[in-house]
Amino acid sequence: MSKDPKKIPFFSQGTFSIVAAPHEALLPAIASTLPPHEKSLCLYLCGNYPVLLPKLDRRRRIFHVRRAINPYQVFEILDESRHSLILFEHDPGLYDGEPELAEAVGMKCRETAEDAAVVLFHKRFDSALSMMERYADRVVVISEADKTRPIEKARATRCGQTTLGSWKNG
Amino acid sequence: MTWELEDRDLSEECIFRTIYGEKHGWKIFGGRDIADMIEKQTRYTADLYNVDIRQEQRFLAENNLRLCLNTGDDVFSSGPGMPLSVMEIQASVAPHRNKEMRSLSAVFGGRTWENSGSNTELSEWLIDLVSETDPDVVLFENADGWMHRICKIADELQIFNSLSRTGTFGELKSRSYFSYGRTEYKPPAMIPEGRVIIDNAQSFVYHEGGLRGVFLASRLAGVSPNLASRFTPGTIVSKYEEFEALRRGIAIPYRKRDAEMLRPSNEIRIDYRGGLIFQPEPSVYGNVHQLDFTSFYPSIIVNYNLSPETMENPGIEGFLPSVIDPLLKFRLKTKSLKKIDPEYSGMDALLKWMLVTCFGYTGYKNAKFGRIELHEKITTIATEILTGVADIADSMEMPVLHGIVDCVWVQGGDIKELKRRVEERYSIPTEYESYDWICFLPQKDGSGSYTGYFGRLTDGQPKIRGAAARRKDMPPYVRRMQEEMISILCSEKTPAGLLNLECPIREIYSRYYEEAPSAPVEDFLLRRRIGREKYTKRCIAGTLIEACRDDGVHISAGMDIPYVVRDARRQAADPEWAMKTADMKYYRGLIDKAYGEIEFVFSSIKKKDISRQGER
Repeated sequence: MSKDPKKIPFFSQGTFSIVAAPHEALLPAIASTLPPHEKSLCLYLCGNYPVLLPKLDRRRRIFHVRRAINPYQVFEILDESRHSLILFEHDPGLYDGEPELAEAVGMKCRETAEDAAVVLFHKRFDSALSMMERYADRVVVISEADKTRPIEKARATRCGQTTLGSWKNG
Repeated sequence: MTWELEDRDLSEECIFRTIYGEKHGWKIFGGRDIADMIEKQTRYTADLYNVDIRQEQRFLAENNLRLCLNTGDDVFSSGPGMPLSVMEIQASVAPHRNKEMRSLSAVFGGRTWENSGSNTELSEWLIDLVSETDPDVVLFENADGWMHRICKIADELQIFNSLSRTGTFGELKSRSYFSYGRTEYKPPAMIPEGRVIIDNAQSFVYHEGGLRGVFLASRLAGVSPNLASRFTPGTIVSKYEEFEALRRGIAIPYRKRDAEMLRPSNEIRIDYRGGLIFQPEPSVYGNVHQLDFTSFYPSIIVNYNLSPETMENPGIEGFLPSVIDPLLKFRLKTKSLKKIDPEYSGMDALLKWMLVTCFGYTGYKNAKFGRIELHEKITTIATEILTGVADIADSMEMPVLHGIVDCVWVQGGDIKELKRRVEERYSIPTEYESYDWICFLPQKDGSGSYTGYFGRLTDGQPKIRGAAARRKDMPPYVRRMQEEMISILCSEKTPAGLLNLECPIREIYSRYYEEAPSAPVEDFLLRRRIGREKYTKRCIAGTLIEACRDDGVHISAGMDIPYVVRDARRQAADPEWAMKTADMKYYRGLIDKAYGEIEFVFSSIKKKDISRQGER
């Protein structure tokens, strides 16, 4: 595991990387890896409530998105993927009730990385990521990511209102 | 692995149907343990079907049989109930804190029995009584808390336990789970054979639907009434879908593997994907109508043929609409029948809950027939419809004051004509209610609350939603005060007349405020759902868990604890059985809050009057 407080490295094909970093560091790094015009090159894989995806410019940089709501759908998506770059926003909720499947997902990421660059990222290096660590070629942890965030801040980072859309009358 | 299984005659090649079409695969003759082994060995790439199906459900579906249905009756018939004998049993105490039942009472065929004694004496007495009277159905308050103890005693005494007609019981284990953002707790249960025992204190399906609701759930889902009474409406609808799939020869996936399709990033809805709200301007309005869609989301599923497989092939008949359509039609029937005969209310309530949850299940991670984009498509269409309704209302010069997901509040105009036009355009039935006046409450920041309002219906009755009088986080004392105030307000027919009631309302407030210290402490009971079993920071939930542990009460995440706040500043609270005093400063704060909602009526009318004077 490398601890690089300054920058997040670029990702090359044939590697599976895990990156745990604060959103301020992750966002520009992930945005910079998105290919400008070739949507079929990059797949963004995430859970049903991604935090970083809404913050990315999804109109000028068009890429493919697939959301999974359980680990079995992650296996399916990785199996079917033909993209050369897979950006996988880690969602700890995917493993609720089935924490042991995190390791199998790590194994699957390793397998998929034979033909692609797989980047699994999250704001914190949590227990699910630590189960996947042994399958990764590279693990990058930016120091602030280790800190537990205060509850209020964690809530504020959820990407705003995700259920009901509202318009003010008048 | 398949060769190995084939060699041992444990598998054979086959072609089977799924909702997506025919598939080639292997029929494996084995249980869930083999399925799990296959899953692990194939590194979760094998698609497994029909693994976790209840055997009795499968047998019923494959033989086209139904439970709780008279021969020749249609499953969607609303005919008379079954002639079953019902016994009601009640213990004098609740099992959560008491190990001893102390006394039991039973009512059957117009007779009442009562007995008291030790658990052993009472268990023996109850087993004898049930054996003698042989009821078909037992409504036993907190059965799931007491039955384990009764069964254990019967085992120890080596007597035939007649609470089950065969003497044997199945067991449902307790579990805590996370649903709709909060932790729920499901207590353990002993399941008898040949007799129905319903825990009428815990069963949601019985609480909402009564015995007719339980039996309807059983016949629709193909599970015994014992199980149906212990399932949530979501599980009932999920079991119903599974039962229908099995009946039609469609294999049920073990894991929900059909992930979202590949979608370009610029076409995906992330920030906003739920229902639509037109936020109200908080104030009091006169001559208002509320137009509601009946079973809005299920109707969208049916009318627009929305199912996981139709997302890619919209031309084919969807599985989901085909199973929801008869439910929907049946609901419309029971909804009108219950107005004539209240006996149908239970069936109607059960159907209502099943239809409410069938939409949510399309996006649930363990639902067998769901998909993210299906869930999104339903809400997208719902948004378009609600916007369309607002346009129709505007064109009829009926301003939309408020709208939320499946209903709108409009002012003035011809509501019958609006209803007709909406139904004509969208083919979804609607209902309306008219108010003489309605008050939309403000949120903390002053903007309109999405769900908080109260008003006077044209028949003079109050309707309250989201205000203190209806909130579970308010104690009975405060709820009662606000209800009293709203009923006084409802004596006035016009918004202008409400100002005459400011003094009597203020008097009610003063009375409740002053008399609070002398009110019985149970009037200040609140309920708290325990989200987890340990809290690191000091909080009310943590204090309550400590108190329960000290008193030997077992606590699991998802349980509700009734309590009284003793000292809010120190986060000190006592559970119901140990309550002594209530923190008056805290509870008077709640009284003020509830009064504030009523006071808002007067302040907003005065504000309107001032602005009108300014306009002149």
